[in-house]
Amino acid sequence: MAPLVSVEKLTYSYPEGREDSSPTVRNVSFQLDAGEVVLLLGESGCGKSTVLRALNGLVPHFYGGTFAGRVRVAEMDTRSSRPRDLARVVGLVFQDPESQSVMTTVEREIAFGLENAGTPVASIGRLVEESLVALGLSHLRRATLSTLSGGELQKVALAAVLATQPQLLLLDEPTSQLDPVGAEELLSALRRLSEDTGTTIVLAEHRVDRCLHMAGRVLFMDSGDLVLDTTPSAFASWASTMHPEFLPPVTRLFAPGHRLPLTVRDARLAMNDGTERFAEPQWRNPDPVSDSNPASSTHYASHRANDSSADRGTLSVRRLSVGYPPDPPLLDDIDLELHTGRIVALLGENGCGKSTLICHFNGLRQPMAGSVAINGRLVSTMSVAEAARSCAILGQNPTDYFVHETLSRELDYSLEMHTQPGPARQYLREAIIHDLELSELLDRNPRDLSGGERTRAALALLACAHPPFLVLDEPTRGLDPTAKSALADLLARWAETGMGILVVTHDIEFAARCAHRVILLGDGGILADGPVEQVLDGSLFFSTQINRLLRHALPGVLRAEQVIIRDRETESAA
Amino acid sequence: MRGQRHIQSHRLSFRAGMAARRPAVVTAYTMFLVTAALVITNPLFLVCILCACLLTLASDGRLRAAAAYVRVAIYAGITVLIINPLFSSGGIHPLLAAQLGPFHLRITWEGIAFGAGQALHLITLILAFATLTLILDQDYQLAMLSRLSARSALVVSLATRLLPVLSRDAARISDAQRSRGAELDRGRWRDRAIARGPLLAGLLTQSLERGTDVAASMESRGYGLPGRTTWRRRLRWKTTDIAVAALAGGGFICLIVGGVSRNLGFAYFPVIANPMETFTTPSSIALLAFVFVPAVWSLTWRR
Repeated sequence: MAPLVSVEKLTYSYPEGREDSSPTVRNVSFQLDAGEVVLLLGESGCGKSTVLRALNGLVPHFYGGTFAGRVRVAEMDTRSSRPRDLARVVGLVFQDPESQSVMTTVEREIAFGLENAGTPVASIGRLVEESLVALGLSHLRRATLSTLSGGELQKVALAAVLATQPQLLLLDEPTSQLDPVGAEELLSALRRLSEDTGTTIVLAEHRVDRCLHMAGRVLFMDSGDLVLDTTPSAFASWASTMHPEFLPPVTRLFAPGHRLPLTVRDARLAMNDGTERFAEPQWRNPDPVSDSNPASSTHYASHRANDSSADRGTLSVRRLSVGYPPDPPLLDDIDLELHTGRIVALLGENGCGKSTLICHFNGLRQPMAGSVAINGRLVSTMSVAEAARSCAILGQNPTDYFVHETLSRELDYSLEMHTQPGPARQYLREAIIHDLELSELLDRNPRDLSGGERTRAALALLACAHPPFLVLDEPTRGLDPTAKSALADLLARWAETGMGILVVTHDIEFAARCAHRVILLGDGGILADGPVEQVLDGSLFFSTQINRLLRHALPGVLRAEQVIIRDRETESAA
Repeated sequence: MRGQRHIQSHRLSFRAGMAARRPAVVTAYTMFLVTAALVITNPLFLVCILCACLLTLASDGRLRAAAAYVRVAIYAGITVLIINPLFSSGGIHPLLAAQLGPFHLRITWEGIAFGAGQALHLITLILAFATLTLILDQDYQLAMLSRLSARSALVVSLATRLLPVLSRDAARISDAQRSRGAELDRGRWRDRAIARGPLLAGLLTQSLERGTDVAASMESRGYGLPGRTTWRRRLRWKTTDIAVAALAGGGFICLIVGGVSRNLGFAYFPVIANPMETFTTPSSIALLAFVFVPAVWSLTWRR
């Protein structure tokens, strides 16, 4: 039987001026059979999205550029079949769900692909309904898309593609904005779909811990080359020495060289298999952030240290109610305090009001009741720009912060707003460029940067104001493990200089790595607020893999770096 | 998956007023308002059409959304009001005559009235188009036009969505800039305009990128394939729908009759005509009824 997908020696370059004109994908070949679930991994910019676009024909039909090799899907050659023709068999969910919505309401968005395919009207209603139910969107069926949260929009995008029942489903980071429960449910639904209907799924993801176990195959790309095409177990062995950052935390816990567990369940079985191969786990370092990279020596850190305005302070939220009148509040009667020098992670279900809440910290939204004060001064008495000097907010889309042609010009624009001309401004500029590793990017258009670079660039613009508080909304969205790790280190360094940081995230592993404290929102209020090891320990979903594995042996443990599990076999062999 | 949850009403797509009627009915009435605003020049009629547009927008709570259109209309109207009298020198009641180098400047009362009339016409026309854009269901527009031509539908659909999407993007970018510390709301209008200048480039780039992304999404979801079907929740024709459609139809007939009998025009030169002259004819009164009855009635409609 012919494979569903056949990619032969695919080499592709985007047209000059769009991106780097060197090939984005080089000499890539692979085949996929019906029912396979394939995980496509690699760092940001390695060509994953381009491969997905090539599989549905957008490359080269829509983007142009130089295309060599051949891609065949369901016996259709993508060079001669247009994406709209391939749409009958291929469904693609883009990285940014916001930019792919066409209609105005949820159910019409889901019906759009079915209408295009000429599905009989009588069937469309049924298929729309099934997709809504499958993704838990029934309550949003008549909601307008512009009012949905990022996670909800991501589910709608997926529902819209699932409804068309494609033979090949291409997903570009489908869980990047979903809460842990939503992500788990989505991936389970995908696995069921593949098993039940034989749908082939290609999943490009950075959250390996969520999906490595469900894949039957892993493709790993590096700088446009396909460097590995193997099983998840073989990938784990390879990555444990080559790219450990791409492994789930529970896999990193075990020494390389043997068959590595991919899930918490596998790890538990490995530890309890009766052979006593592994010694009892022991604490390596119980402090969640103390083993981050050292902070004190950075330029920006010393600049902040010399600045008296970056002194200790408090952001107080008193009896705050937030929402959209005349509806009842999304969050009601919230009391919390943020302190400088600490990193706080704000967690909660999609659509629970996290992003709405933080908009009140610099006055972007007015509270329904209650108040927010920074160092005793009410935010409601300041302009947003003024409040932003005390509490800078990095929204979900860093691109919104860029209004100039080059990053260098952006930095100057920010510095002009916040500092007087002179050597101090120049020193701050250099310090920020050095600390955020931007020197290579200064002459580039910030919109053309990769996800991680864009986040760093936007953070640099906010850093110019020397805010005592910094709030980041989903900063890890679209970041590869390396960029995520760099961001965690950066935040730890800045916290040590006295900055108070609040990170809104669905990435529990990231929260466990960099936060001192966790606030869990839900049911219109605060469900839990306390030290990271206390809130995340024992939680059902809002917890790390390591905690789920070792919570009974080592209560409070969250990260692989905190634990040592000795492999007796390896030790004795050595 | 998780069960039913409460959804806040601001997120629902339910519409009120004129927008709560069947899309075909809304199309008929708003198209009637646009056509009337195009062909009528009598200022009293224009004021009536303007009021009907504002009532229709108010019926769906869209006055705030129309604020951007109103601003554009007022600026354009003021520009016409200032410039027109300088070039329309007809009329028999001169107000000012002067020789400016090679140019002979002659401003008349009739010229000023003509400028005011043209400004009113322009404002009414912009507001009528705003009513069409804001009240008519955009998904319906896309479905309707795609039956005629997929490519035209794509262009019209993207164009009609442009303003709401641009205004959302502009709000987001402005918020991001404020969060960065940019003072966008301080000082006089000139200072604000200068402060907002850099945002324009970001907004334009973003809207171009968004347009490309939406087009890519439509292409990869099969838009343009032959045999497209259109699905929407089944809505019954109600007596009200039939009545409004009939009123809009009657309005179109009146426009044709008025056009043939030259009742809809207005003369500013050589002397300003009496606007009441054609305003009180039976066909004009009927036209006013067709303009106003649906607009006033729509204030009572809730879905």
